[in-house]
Amino acid sequence: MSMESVGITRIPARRRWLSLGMALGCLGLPLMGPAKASAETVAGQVQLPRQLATGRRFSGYWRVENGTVPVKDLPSGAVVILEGAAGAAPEAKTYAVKINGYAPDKPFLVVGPGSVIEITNEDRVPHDFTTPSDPTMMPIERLAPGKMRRQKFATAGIFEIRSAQHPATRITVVVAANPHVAVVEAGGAFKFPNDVQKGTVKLKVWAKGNYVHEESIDVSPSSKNLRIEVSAQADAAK
Amino acid sequence: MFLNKLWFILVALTAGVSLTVAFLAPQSASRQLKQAEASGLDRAQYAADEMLKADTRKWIDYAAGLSRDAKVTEALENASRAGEERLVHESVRSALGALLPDPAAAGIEILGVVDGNGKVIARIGHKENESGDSMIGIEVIGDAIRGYMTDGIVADDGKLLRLAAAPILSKARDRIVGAVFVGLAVGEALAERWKQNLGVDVTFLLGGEIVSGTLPDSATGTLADKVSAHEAEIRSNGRTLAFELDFGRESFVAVAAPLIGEVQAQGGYYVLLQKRQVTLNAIELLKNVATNDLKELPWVPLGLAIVGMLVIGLVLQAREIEGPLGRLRGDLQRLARGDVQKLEDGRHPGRFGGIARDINASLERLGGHGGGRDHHPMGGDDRERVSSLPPLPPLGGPSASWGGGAPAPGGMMGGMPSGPVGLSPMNMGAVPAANLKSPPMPSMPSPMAPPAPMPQMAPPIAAPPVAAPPFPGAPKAPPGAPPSREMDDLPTKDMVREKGGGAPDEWETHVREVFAEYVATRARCGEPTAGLALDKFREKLEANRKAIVDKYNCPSARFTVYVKDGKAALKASPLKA
Repeated sequence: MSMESVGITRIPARRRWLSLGMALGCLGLPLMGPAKASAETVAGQVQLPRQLATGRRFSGYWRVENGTVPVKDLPSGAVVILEGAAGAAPEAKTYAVKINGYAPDKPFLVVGPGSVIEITNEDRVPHDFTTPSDPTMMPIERLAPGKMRRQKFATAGIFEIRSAQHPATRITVVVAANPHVAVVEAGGAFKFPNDVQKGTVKLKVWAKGNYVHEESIDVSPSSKNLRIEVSAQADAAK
Repeated sequence: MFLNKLWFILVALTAGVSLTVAFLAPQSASRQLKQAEASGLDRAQYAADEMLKADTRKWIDYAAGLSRDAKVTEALENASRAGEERLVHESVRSALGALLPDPAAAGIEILGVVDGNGKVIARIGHKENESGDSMIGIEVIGDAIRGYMTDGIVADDGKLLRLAAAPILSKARDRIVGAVFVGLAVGEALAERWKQNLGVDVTFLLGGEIVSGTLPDSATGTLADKVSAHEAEIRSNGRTLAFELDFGRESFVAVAAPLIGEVQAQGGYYVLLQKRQVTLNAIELLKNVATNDLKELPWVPLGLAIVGMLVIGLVLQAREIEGPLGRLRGDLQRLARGDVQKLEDGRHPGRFGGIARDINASLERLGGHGGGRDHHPMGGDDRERVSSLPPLPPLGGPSASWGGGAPAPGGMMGGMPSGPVGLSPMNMGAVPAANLKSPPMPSMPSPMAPPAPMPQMAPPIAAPPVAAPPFPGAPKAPPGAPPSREMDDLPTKDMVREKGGGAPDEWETHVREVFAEYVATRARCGEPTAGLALDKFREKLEANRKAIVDKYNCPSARFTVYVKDGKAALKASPLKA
């Protein structure tokens, strides 16, 4: 049975290409135009309680400035994420982290699901690494000096890899479900690296092993100067 | 007896209260002692924390002092200019050695210097031959390099190390070129110092293991587990409340608090323990009484109270038991000697009176009543009581009816109205003597005939409660009823002898009947009947009977009761043979 027999008229090839181009053009215009206009920059300031604001995880009795040379404080290590925001997760990669002087050279990593962390112990002492919040994900295992351990992070979340012998030796791994992850700087400032689509999303603050704040925000032009205040109760809860 | 019983109840109540207090008070005291111990441990923990804090500050200042040493500063500046590493190491090490020749004597475990990148330039003490390794990841060291004077406790090879660090500034004092750190062992020395200052035992824990302490490990074997059980409480409150620990036979109260620094995440705790000296109970308390405690007692009031209680008890016993018992015994002895025929139960109070009545009843039941056989219905009278009665007047002679109804000139018995007595027109007028011509009154029993019961009998005089039959099965005589025949019909030997083998039964029966009627008549006339005794009555009648028999030469006499001038009186009549 031929095409003519059912009443279908064959369109010439040149016209077919023209029609396809016009259709794509019609579809593309509304998508490209408004999309560009609905994404906004989200940035601001996180006000953390004193214990969460400091970069030191385990405080002592005293922490007194020397009084002569200005001190250089560590960033708090807090992270701000936007839950429910549109955007593709970071690509899964392999990251190499070296431990030297009880400190990782990359103490903070934002990775995509499926990424692998390779930890190399360059210290003279062994480290028994694990993720205390979920030991089943990364069971405790001794990493002898000079040895390397690989650990894959398949699911989204924030994980802290910690040495059992030296709890201050830790790597924070943010396995992001979307590209909207911001690291809080020393003064509390943060800025998401990518613009965020307009709409209501959930903003969460993570600090020192726990989510310490959570609120819904409307992404708008005013989202450039957000002020997030974390209550002292969150510090106490920690 | 009532007061005695009351006294014993009071003594028992006092003893009960005392025992209750003795058992309850230690529990309350124990609870308060626990609270006091817990409170003491709380204060000790606070003091320990403050001591640690102050001591740490001292070592921070010490490290800060070392950081200002010119030799150290110069060596570090050279190190930061990438000089010869070995030379720098030696230079700094010798500088440290000069500053602190004997670290151990100063209680320092390790003293070291790191450069601006956290690399160890030199150290003395622990691992003093090693250098070149980095310590930037140790938070205390990293903080010092960033410009802070700070401290913290870290774990190193299973040992606890207190670190104090201070930044080392350049000669120009415009930048930080490194840091100096001091490490002090958290171990026996610190525990002993705390024990000396706080008066409590101390134990340091790390990762569920006892690192050091003032108590032997055997005594604190399960301590780490116990503290682990309080981990949530420590996390939320920064310490535990006082909790109890039992190690074998020893009991402790303990407070655990976390050590500061990185060891917080490794189960680093210090535990203050106070041994509980006394398990408080009444016996243990008594065991722990000291000589001085005895001196504290108010002996005089206590002794007076005890003596007072004894005296009251003895007085009450003497008054209600010993005294009545003695009286009863005395009466019994008199009864045994034959001084009395019965016990006077009225003299004996309460149960003793009951005993006396029981004895009387037994005596009556057994028929043993001294020498007398006069079992009369007026139980309770005895010879003593009889002696107190007014004597009956002797019967003066034949009755008036003897001569045909004229009043008899004969006298009455002792206390009775004297002069001739006549028959009462009511009940005695028709009762002539048997030898008179007039027919005998039907109400008057014939001497030969068995006596009819008295129509109306006055109640027995001072009839005691024991007048009931001595045996349960014995018939109870109604009030005022004449004595039963079984008891009374047996004549005494004396009576038989006196009457020369006559008819003692009849005479005795007659005497009793007359006596009963006499008593009843006196009662009716409102005269006192207390003290009337059958024995005495019998004696009087016997005397009168003898007189009549002698005078009229008759075999016997009969007596009748009548009322004269409102008073009971007796009339004697000779009995015709």
